[in-house]
Amino acid sequence: MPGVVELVNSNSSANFYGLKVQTRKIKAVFFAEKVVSTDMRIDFAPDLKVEFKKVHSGILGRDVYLIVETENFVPAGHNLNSNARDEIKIELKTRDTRLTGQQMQTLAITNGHANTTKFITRVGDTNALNDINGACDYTNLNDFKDKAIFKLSLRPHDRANFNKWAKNIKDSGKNLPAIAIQVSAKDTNLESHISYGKGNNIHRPPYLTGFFSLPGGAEFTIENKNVYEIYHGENKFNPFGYHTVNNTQVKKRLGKIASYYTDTQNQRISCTDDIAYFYHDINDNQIEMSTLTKNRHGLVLFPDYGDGFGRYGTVDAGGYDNIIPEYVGRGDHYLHPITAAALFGVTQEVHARGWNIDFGDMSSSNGRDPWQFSWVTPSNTNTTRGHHSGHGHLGRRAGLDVDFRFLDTNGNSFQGTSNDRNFDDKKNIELFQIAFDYGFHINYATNKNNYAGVNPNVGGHYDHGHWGLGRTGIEIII
Amino acid sequence: MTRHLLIILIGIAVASPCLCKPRNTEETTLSNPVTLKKFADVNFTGIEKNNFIFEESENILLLKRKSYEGIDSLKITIKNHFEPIKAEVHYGALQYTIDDNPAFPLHTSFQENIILNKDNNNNYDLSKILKTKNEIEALIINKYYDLFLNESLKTQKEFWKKIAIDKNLAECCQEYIDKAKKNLARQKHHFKSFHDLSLEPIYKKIVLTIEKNRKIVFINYQ
Repeated sequence: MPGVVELVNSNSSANFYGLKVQTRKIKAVFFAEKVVSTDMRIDFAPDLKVEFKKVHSGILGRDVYLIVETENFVPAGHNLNSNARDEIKIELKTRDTRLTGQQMQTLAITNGHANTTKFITRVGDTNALNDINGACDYTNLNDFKDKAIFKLSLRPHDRANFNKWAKNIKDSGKNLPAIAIQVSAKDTNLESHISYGKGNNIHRPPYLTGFFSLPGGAEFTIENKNVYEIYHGENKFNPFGYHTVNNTQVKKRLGKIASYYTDTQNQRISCTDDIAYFYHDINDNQIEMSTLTKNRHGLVLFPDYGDGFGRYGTVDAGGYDNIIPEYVGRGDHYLHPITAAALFGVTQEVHARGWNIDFGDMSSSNGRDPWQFSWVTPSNTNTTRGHHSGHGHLGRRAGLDVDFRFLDTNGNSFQGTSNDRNFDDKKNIELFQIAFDYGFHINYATNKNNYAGVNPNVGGHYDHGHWGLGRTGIEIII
Repeated sequence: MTRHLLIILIGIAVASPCLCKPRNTEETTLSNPVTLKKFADVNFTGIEKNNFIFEESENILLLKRKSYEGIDSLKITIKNHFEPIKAEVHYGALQYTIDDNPAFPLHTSFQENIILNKDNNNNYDLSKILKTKNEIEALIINKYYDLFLNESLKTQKEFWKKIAIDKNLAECCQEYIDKAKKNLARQKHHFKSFHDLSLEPIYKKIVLTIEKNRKIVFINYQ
């Protein structure tokens, strides 16, 4: 049966007149992503259940779960019916030479404090599911009594080794490095290597050391990407530190993995322009928002549409504006990568409330104010001609500002002003607070005194809101 | 280009309610005083230096707004200057059209002359002389409404005509074309308030005369 590795319990008689008395098995090993589902209990408390979905690729630097499924994994000397379970040890190995230069090299990755090569946990132990306060709200932990759960960070603890791996991955091009998992019981020398890919061994006794295939035959590969991790404000698994906002300590919501290496002159060389955005919702489900590519001005093109958001208005063409004067890039939806991370966080919270927000001008592709020559403005006004001052400031606030339409009583963006009857003050107050919590501290909504981050004296914002990124605490993951 | 400029001379200091209110964000007080040469005796607090362009000539210091932030909280101290200073505040209106086009100032404006005294902390506090939006609007409605009405309608008519026939907008933004048609169908008598005209009261420019020809000019909208 492909994908199954069996380990014989060393303390038992393996065979008795051809009868297998006892075996303990490692049924499967795989990298995984946590999936949390919610039901409402009869007392209206949320009933959280967790399961794992196999994944076949990872990003250097990110966290991943590793699940070992077992059967009869009682410790040596214990009764067969014992509920006790033995410990399992895992090591990650290079499946090829592409990551470190050596095949079957044991990888030293961070345990949060230092590099380590071996991870040990007891089958059935669910500590890896605990939140940062050591609590666990899941109601189906019994489902894991025969599983060993590891939460790993796919990165060396030190930046120097991270850089070496990052460069090697870059140099491997599309032929990405693969990782194997070596699994063993803590009290036996018998080892099995399990990888995603074709193995050489048949999965039956006698048990040989070597590679065993897993179902599907896929390899677990590792790639380079810059990453922003975005956490819902009430996510209990957010591992980041605190920063100061208005003299108050606030937990950071954004974290960054920067994929680069340094050359002999100690210059940073980017491994990729791709930036992956991951959102962790209130229940710690991970949602891959998008992978955006940084342009030569360091900006990303924010999507026009997605869960909880859309766009309005024309897409500005850009060109040379001789009134300002400045050369304006194309488009109007470009953001600094950090601003995009903050905005993805906002859109997810908007979506979770069943609302929908439409975004207007951000910055042009070179970070200048969005603009186009043919834009309709009256001939007797030559001061602005549609030049959206405040969304680039001649490059000084490139990609930091976002316009949007206010929410109506249904929670949808509408074309109109904050004086209109269908303008929902309560929803818009909440919306501004959400944005503020993700780092938008320089905000405008004319005459709205009680909106988070808003200077109500600033004119021109009766028919749309404006968020500007302020001092945003970013956790540097590595 | 027609320019309506009315001058009202009010020879007494007017203490109006402050437009500003502390905002729920980072401290915006100027941490490093602006370094000036000709106006080295003048110090500004309450604004973020990076939000303004400072241009000095022999007798004029020009502050140009380069972000949205104005000078609502600006306080000025002038060394060895004890006399009240003369302030000219130019008021006007922003014209709203569609939300993809920034609101822009009409040319029509009017002016108030005010005497600004030092407060107890030796500051000339501009927030004490700026009218609120409601006060500006009330003043316009009472005295200058026709001027603003005429320019606004002329400007809007020209704008909405262009919108109504813009083929690009027909593809992406039908709501703008609908709005254009609706507005073009409206008659002059439908516009009885600033709200009807989609106007917002603003201050456009403030000129502070420290002594004789020595002036500080703040440009909010050109």
